[in-house]
Amino acid sequence: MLEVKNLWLSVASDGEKEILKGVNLRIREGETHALLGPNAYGKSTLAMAILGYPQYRVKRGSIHFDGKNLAGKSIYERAKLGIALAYQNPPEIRGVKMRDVIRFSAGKSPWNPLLEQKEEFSQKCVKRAGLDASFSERDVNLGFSGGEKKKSELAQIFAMQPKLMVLDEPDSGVDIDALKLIGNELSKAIDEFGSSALLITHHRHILQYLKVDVAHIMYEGCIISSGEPKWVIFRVEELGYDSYMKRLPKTIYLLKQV
Amino acid sequence: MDKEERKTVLSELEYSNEGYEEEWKLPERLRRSRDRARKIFKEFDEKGYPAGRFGMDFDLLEYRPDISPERGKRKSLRELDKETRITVEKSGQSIEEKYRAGTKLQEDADTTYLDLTEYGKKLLESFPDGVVVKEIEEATREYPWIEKLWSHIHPMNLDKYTAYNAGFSRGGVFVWVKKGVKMELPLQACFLLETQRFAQLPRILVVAEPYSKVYLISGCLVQPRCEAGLHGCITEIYAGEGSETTYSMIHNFRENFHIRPKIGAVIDRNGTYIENFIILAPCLSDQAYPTAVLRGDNSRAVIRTIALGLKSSDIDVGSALIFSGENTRGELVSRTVTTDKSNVKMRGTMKGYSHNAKGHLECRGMLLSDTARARAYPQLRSTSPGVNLTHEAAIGKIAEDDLYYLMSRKMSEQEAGARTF
Repeated sequence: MLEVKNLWLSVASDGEKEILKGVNLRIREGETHALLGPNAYGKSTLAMAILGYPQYRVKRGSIHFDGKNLAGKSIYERAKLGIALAYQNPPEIRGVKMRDVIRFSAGKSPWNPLLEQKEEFSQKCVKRAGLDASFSERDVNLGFSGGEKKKSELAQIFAMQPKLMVLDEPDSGVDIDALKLIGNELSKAIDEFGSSALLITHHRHILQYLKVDVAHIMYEGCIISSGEPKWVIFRVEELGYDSYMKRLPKTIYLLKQV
Repeated sequence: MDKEERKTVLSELEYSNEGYEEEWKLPERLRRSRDRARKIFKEFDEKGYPAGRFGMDFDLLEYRPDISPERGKRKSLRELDKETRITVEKSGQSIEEKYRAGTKLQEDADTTYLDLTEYGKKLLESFPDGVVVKEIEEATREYPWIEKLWSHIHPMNLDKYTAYNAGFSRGGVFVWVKKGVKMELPLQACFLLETQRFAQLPRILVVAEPYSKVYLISGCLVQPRCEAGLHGCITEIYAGEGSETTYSMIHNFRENFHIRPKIGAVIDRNGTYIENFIILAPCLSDQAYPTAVLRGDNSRAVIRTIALGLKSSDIDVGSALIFSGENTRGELVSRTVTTDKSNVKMRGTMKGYSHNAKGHLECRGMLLSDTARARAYPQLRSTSPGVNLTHEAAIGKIAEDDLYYLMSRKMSEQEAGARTF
């Protein structure tokens, strides 16, 4: 499904500094992977790179999705192929209604069919994400609270029915009830759409609700460790990232030093 | 133009103006007021002061209000030629008069068509004399009290444009909606410029009596074959107690036109005033400063300006609100998009003089080319401790983050760009 091969990435405005240094990742169909790691070590960058943000320049390596090389494809084309990103900090957009965006996300023009159906559809998505139906009439994310923004992202993802969900911290800053709802709805949606998922997170709580196949740890722009999620997360929580790094087999640690 | 030429032009204007006043049999008091305005204009012309505080300066005498040919009446807007009809439709006017209460068409200085639609006539049946829509000259003859409202909001010595209009105005429309009459559908007034280098100087006077409702859409446009001209109208709106007045103005000119509309409104107790000012086509210069005075307690006003700077337009649009009644509320919103070599200035002024006045001013500009210029001048003034005035101004290009976000939701780049505008 998704194959990231030896991906080296830099910021387009600053060609020198590399953020990702040789990331390898393979997600097969129907698999859910979790990606953990300290802040500012490239997790969100990887998500943005998969979606094709132009501010990041691929220096080496490639991203394949469904057997197609994604190089040179715009965000829109990638979204059409079936990649959906739930943003960590979605922007607030004045003057664009939630229902229109949801309609677009479903791949249908918001002006075409009957108006009533359009409202019903968007309200369904919004309700499913645990928001009040009135949110479909509001401007996208404008004046939403932190938790509401996360839910609004989910509503859009549900409308998109993607092949691959890239979920950038859907669980940060939400209360326990909302976390439960988000986790349950996500796992339901993953089953329903048969999609794969890449879940970026810091906590194990959301993993109670989702079936995660593999957990990866990203450290200084590299995936340095992958394995059984429970074991990996348990070790990380116990030791912290720095000590965890030092206990890895020496070869990997030395490689990192080079 | 040298001094001698100017003198001859002015004396010619004076002569033709006499003919115009005779023809329409304007009342004595109005004639005297026009005389005064002409004197002021001549003084301005000699001293060259004040040229108008804002906007590009130009020689007004190059554009004359007395050079249009005489025109016969038309039976409907459909009689206009095809190209003109398209521009008329683009300026918010309905050729078929669908969803309109009445229509006025002014070509250069002459009103060629003025009628109410079926809806308007029905309204008149249920409220006899409830609505008066007339040519302004006829109205001044019939209702002498109009003279008290004449040049009341815009003093004629404000700048040379107001003096020019007050002294030489021709044509215009008078709308009078009587107490309790609610017009749900809008009236449309179409001002069409046809003659080369003509100065169209109409006057619009709207009187909304208490608890009435009126909506006027005025479209100012130019016939496709006309290449240069001036449009300088004066609009005065009196919104009575508890009335709802909406005024939309759409400008649709071309590269060689100067536009100087002067719009003013006075709103009484519990009244509501909404104004939309829209510029969609290029021009040489466009300067407007619509002003609303919230005179009565609990009155409200919203003035929205939408301007699109195209080619080398010099656009200076702003709006002002004066809060003099208690508990008044107001909002000024400016949205501009600047492209090509245009130069756009957004102004906004709020003056709070009363207790518990609340206002918000918002200017947002978007710059789409390297050669364009955009400026915002928000201004708040207050002399009363009980006011709450806020402002917000921003100039920038399309927010990339917003664009990418919408693209990631399966919107193509064009669609996303259009949405974030």
